Amino acid sequence: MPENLTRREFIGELGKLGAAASLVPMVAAGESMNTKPFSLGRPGWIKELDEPLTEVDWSQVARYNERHTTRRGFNLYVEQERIDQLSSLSKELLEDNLKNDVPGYTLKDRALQRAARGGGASRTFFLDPEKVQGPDTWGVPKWTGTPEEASQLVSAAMRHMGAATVGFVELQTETTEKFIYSVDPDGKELRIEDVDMPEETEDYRVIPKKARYAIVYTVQMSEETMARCPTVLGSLTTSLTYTRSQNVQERAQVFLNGLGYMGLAESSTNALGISPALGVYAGLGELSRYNRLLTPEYGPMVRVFKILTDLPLAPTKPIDAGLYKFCHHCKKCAEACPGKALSFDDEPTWEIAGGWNNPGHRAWFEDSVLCRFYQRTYTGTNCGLCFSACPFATKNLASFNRVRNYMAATMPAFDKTFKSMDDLLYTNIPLEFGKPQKDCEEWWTLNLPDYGIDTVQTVRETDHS
Amino acid sequence: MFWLIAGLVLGAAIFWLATGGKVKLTWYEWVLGILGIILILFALQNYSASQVALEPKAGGLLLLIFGLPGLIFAAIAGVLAFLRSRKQEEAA
Repeated sequence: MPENLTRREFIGELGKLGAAASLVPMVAAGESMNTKPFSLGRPGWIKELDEPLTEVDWSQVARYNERHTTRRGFNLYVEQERIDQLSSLSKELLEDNLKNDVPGYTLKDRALQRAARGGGASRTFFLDPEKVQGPDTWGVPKWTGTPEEASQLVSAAMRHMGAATVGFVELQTETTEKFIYSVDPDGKELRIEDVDMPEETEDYRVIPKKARYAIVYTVQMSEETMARCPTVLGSLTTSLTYTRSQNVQERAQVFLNGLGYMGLAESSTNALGISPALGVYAGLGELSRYNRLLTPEYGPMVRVFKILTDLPLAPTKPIDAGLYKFCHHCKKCAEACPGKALSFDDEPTWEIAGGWNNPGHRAWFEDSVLCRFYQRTYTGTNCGLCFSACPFATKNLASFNRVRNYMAATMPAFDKTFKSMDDLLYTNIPLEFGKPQKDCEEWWTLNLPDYGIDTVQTVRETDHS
Repeated sequence: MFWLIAGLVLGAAIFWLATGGKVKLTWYEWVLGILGIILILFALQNYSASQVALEPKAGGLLLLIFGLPGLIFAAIAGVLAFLRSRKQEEAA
């Protein structure tokens, strides 16, 4: 405050001080939060849509039994005797490769893969209310705010705990609620009922109808490690991402409980609901030719997870970043697939490839049995070549990659040119059968960042204007 | 630091050419020169970023694909300006 004031100036300055002082409690109580609509803050050339580009016929969509996927229900599609043969082949291959020091299968690779699989928090449908601290234990009412504020809050918290992008879907009984599995991977039925609290028994789990909001989030995978697939070394990319996601999940549940709301999550890997479908509806990406989520920030280099809550959240919209259209022309994942499990069709179809697909949407459906046959016969572990060969599986540091991303979203006429450029610059197709794109032994000499990922990438890609 | 130095050098060169230089560029020499410089800078950024991204082959090819035309455009602009100024000097 200036030293020589007239009486009028003095009263004016006092007024300013008073106004500032009156704002302090509001800031402390969190009431001064940004009231702008929540968005993922993407560049303007990524268009938001009311409906995703993937067409859905809701009358044909039913809640899917997760045990019909080939991950759990391989024996629904292949005779047990054949499965046993494949398992023996897989085991022999791993043993031979280990003893013969085959790059990507050596003792150090096996040890690291084992390590990557451990250390994650245990997955739980919901946390024990007795053990979680929340508003009741602290003697305050539960957090309240607008859905936009809630989305901002949850996104900030989850990104800080390891999520890459976070989006939200409001479940509607006749449509998006059908993305919740009818049966979880462990065989427990998932019931959606008009009850106040979630419940879990030996046979079923109950999701209260009021848990209408799906938090859908991605966790980044390492492009550099995935480029070593299909080997044990390459496979630890997914192992590590799953264990990291377990930590994100449990912390998010604790956070939601702390605010005074429920957090119903995946009780095991790939539980609760169909990740790519929820990811598409949350606008985290688009459905790709390899029938998984393709994101504008990380391409295919993510895994997708979900949590249901009764905290009202502002939904995020599906997007058009030109990725789905790019897949029409590209076909690189299908060319790279040694198991010939991916579609070469120009257009997606309504016809599913088998019981492992959920009907009712137009997509390029994969032959999941062929995929697993290849993995068990030739790799002894999982594959991932469709992910690593994708032109969008780049680190986006070079301007060329950013120009490609922009052009894919705005000028699809150049899609084929960019696919040809990718063949020239990054991955020569056809790949040598069963061989990784990059040297596995070299991987051990690289000075990769934490978790092998670039956590600044999303911030760099965000439009801050 | 590289981009700061490159920006300063380029800025000084363009300022000199536009104001105090002996050689006055024609409009098409400006177009060719600026296009060449943009392509060279694009090539250099892609090269250095690809090295960081552990994609040396992509870096080398991008340097060639964008750097070579950039050099050619910049060289054409420079040679045209040089020949014209020499002709003017001879005439004078």
